[in-house]
Amino acid sequence: MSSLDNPRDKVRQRRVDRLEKRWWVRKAVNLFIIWHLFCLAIWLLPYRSSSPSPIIEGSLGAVRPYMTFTGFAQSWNMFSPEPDKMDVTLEAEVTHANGHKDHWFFPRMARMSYPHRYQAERWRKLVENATHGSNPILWPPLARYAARVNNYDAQNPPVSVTLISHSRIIPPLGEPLPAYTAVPLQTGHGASVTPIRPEDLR
Amino acid sequence: MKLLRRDWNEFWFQPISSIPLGMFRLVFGLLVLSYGLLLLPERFVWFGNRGVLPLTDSNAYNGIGAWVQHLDLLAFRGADHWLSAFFAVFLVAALCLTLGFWTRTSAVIVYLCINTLHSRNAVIHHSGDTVMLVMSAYLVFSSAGAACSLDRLWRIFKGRENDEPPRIVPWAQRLMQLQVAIVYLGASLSKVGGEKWVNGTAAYYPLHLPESARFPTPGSELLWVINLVTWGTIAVELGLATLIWVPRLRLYVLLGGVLLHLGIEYSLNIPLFSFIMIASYMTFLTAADYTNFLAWAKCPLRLTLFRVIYDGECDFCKSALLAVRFLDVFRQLTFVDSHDEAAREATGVNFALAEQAAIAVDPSGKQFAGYDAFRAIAWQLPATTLIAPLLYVPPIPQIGRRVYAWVKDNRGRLPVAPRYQIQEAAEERETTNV
Repeated sequence: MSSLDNPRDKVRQRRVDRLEKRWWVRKAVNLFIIWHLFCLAIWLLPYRSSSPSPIIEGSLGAVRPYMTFTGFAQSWNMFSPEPDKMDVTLEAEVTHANGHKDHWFFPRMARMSYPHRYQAERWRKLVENATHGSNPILWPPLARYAARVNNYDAQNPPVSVTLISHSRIIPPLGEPLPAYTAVPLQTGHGASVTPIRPEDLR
Repeated sequence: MKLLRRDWNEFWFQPISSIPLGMFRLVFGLLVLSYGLLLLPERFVWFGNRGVLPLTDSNAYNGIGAWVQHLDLLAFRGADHWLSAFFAVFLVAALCLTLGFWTRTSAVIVYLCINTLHSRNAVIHHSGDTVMLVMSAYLVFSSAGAACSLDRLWRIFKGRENDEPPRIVPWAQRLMQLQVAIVYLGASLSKVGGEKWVNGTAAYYPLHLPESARFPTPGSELLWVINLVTWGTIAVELGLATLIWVPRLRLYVLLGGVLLHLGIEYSLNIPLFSFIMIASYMTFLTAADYTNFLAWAKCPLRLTLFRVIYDGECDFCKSALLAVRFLDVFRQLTFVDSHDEAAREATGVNFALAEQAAIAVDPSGKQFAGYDAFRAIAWQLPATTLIAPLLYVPPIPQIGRRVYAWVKDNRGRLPVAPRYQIQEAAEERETTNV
């Protein structure tokens, strides 16, 4: 039996054909394509230009909500313009009510088995974003998370957390690896210490 | 101007084969499923309100005061059990997308879920995840269920489609191709501006970062190897942005991209990134590429040509054969109606035997009946090859033979493909009219 022997399917096919032939469907798709390509171009242009023109700046205002909401707001500059050279891990120094300090590291890839590393790679990305780009906005939630992980004694809860980065710069080819330097993450007022309230531990 | 308009319409709207997009959807769905399964065990850590980035902190990081700027379905319900329900829906939708079942709907759900996960915790996602997000957006607009899908099998059952998958209007697939080229254009141009990329030593650093390196890379201490990898990366990325549009160079450029990403997959620990990029190349392939690939893959797989003798008067048998024919990607099976005397006799199968069960006959004339025929055929179909060895493991053969016997005895009562119901109804109407 051929595909269109059934009268219901003939009607359906006619409907599809009619829709495809409708000028406004094609027009709408064309407009969407042009708009989308325009947005992609405008979004990528600022990354190429150090002093964007007022036209680009103005267009960016219109384009940004669309790009952000749809998830297209990306820059695509992987490993560039310079590759990442900083080898960093993040430690949380958790101070308990009695003054005892726990030293807890956010999971480190280099210490995991290969399969575990694959599943846990998000930790590396998290630490990278928290330390490299100087994202102090991430430090309090990370400190509170470390406090929750180390809240094992109800009588002696964590009261503050200091985040300490252990880092070193990978030297050029042929030069020896330096030792790690441990430095508390710094805000404008010194080391970043996050006070922990009881509600943070719930 | 007229010429430009013609080229524009040809590029975006001239129908093309739906097979490449169908294959891309299948592989992409598997990757989305893997992405979800990798996140699932630590979902509360990444997205829960007691995790590393509770909702208020996530909103602060995203720089927003109102949820509407980012698409975050979890913003409404932050409780942990909602998160589990969210993941359940996401994984089911990803599975449906892979199988091509309710393709458009599952593509929409998958896109909404991926976008939500990105908005809810933007800190843990890498470029590969972002490519996954944008490709899922394009899939929503594409005819991704036109080929290699359960939706198509259903259309075959209904008699709306036959052996050849329909051609599709490719504008969404073209956007995917452009997006891939844009990704590589952005990546290569930003590298050209970097000192380490220009002097040829950039590749050395990621390979020696203990937190991101995977397996030890041979030669990574040799300057000439590092130079080759660094400049080779820029060349391949530039090629993927530009030369990929030259038909004669397309496959070579794609091969370069595959090698680049296999190298990245070996040496760097960036989950799924390389596989997503390689999968995205599938949108650049043509139906002819797939045909050539199948012809090439046939030899090492050592497949056998089978003739399958079936009861042509049994609607259930014909319905089952529609599914078998759909899965027979390598076209290894030919079907013979047992009532077609000449054709049947050529296979050496007698009518009495063919009445009892479906028979598969290999080129040497060896006959497999019933469950054994099913088992022999299972080796020939890519979708069932992996389960074929299990069909020999006791007690599966014993159970299988019983099930087959039950089906044979009850085939008149089992559901049949709608196309045969319609045919039957039409024949009944004709008889009544006469």
